[in-house]
Amino acid sequence: MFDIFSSSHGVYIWSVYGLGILLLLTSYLLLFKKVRDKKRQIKCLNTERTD
Amino acid sequence: MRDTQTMILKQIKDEQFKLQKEIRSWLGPLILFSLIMIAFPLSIDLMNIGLAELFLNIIIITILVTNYLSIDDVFFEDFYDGTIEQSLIKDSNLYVYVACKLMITVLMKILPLTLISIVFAIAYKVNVSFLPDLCLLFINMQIIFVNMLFFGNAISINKGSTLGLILVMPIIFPAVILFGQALTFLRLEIPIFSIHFMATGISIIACILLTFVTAITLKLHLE
Amino acid sequence: MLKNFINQFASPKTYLKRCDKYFIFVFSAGLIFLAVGWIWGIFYSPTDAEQGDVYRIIYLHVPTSIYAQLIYWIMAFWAMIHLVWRVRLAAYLIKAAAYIGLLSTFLALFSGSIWGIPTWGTWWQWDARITSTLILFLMYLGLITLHNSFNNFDKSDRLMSILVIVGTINLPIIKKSVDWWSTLHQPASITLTKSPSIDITMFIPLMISIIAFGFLYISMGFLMSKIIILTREKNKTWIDQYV
Repeated sequence: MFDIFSSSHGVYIWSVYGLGILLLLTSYLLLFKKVRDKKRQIKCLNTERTD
Repeated sequence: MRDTQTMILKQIKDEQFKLQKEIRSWLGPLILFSLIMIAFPLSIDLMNIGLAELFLNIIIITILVTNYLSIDDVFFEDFYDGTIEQSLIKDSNLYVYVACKLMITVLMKILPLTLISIVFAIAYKVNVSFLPDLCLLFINMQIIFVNMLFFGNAISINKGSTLGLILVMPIIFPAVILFGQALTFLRLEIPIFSIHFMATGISIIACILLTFVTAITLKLHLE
Repeated sequence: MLKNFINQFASPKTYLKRCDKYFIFVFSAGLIFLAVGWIWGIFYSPTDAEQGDVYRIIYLHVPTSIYAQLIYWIMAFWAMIHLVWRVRLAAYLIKAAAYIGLLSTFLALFSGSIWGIPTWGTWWQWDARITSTLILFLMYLGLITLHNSFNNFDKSDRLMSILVIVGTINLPIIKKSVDWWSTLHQPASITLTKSPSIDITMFIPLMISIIAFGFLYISMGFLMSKIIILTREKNKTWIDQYV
């Protein structure tokens, strides 16, 4: 089994996968947040219209 | 048929007259190009070693920048004074308008710039046997650049030409790579007939297709 | 009947409902495949004879490179649909795909640069494949910039579609750049017409990673297109009921 901690190339693999996971995670979190904000915005608009 | 011919000739005359009056729009870039080409050897060293190589290295980008400056906001004035709208009403498509503008740009901007580039090639001590190849390469290169820049200007007609340049530069890069390769082969005295054929073919296709696409883009702005 | 079949995909309302229905399956499948592919590839695949262990970056680099180009082809298809049939949803999907393509191209460039340090001794080389991928990155950026610079959404949709179609000339150049120009970048290990040039024990986790990224990008596309539809259709009555 490859040991990512003791290999001399470990740092390269770490940095690539680390950034990859970070970017994917950040993208998803941002997208979920934006969807939630948009829905909230539309609900507020509806409330203003019905008032 | 005869009406169309008359219309096209009239359009070409109008464009040529307009450009003749706007001296700064065609003369300015040529002067700028000349100044840059004069400045380059001065910025390297006064011994002028490797001038021919320097010319081949810098000419593509200098021509690209000059082309951009020479057709900066090419459609802007016509868009805002209603000329494009009038052309659309008259012809129901803008293909003839764009094609005539392209033709005049080739005659009054591209050809003079090519001639000046050849003069500088001689001044930079480029091998005289390369000059016909260089002439053909420069014409094809500029036709492709100008077509793409026309398209870029059409897209960003009311947002400034810089946006258009940013949008089409990635599409121009492969042409820059191709012509760079051609100049490298020329320097190594490898025959470049195949590149000439390919470049000529691409410039013909660019003239036909991109003129059409530019016309559609301009029409879109008027809708 | 055909018209009804196509129309159901053209309606943002129906599309949103399908997004919500399928999102969790696609997202979960993506995560599972990604976990399997990466764990297998990073920890259990054998070491490469030439590159050692650094080749394991392949399980991120190759999927992102493939999708960077594939997404542009898909955008070109939708651009054609938008221009010919004036389907609004196609324009929304183009914009959603542009962001995902930008992310994928960035990951491909970044992972390739890091991979280049131990293998080529440099993090950047003005090489055919790398340069053309950088050009693709700039194209995605240009598309997003173009769309965001116009207030009139209909006009910006159509301009973006035209630019996408004109930009497709770059794609064959990117694909074939490794073959046409003598280059530092290795030729494709996986092609559609020939058997792969890498070992099967490395190939299987690579395929799993490619499938994983496909699912993940589709789920990201669902979310992104949802945001765009909620923004652009916010004044429609069906949105009130949906929200």
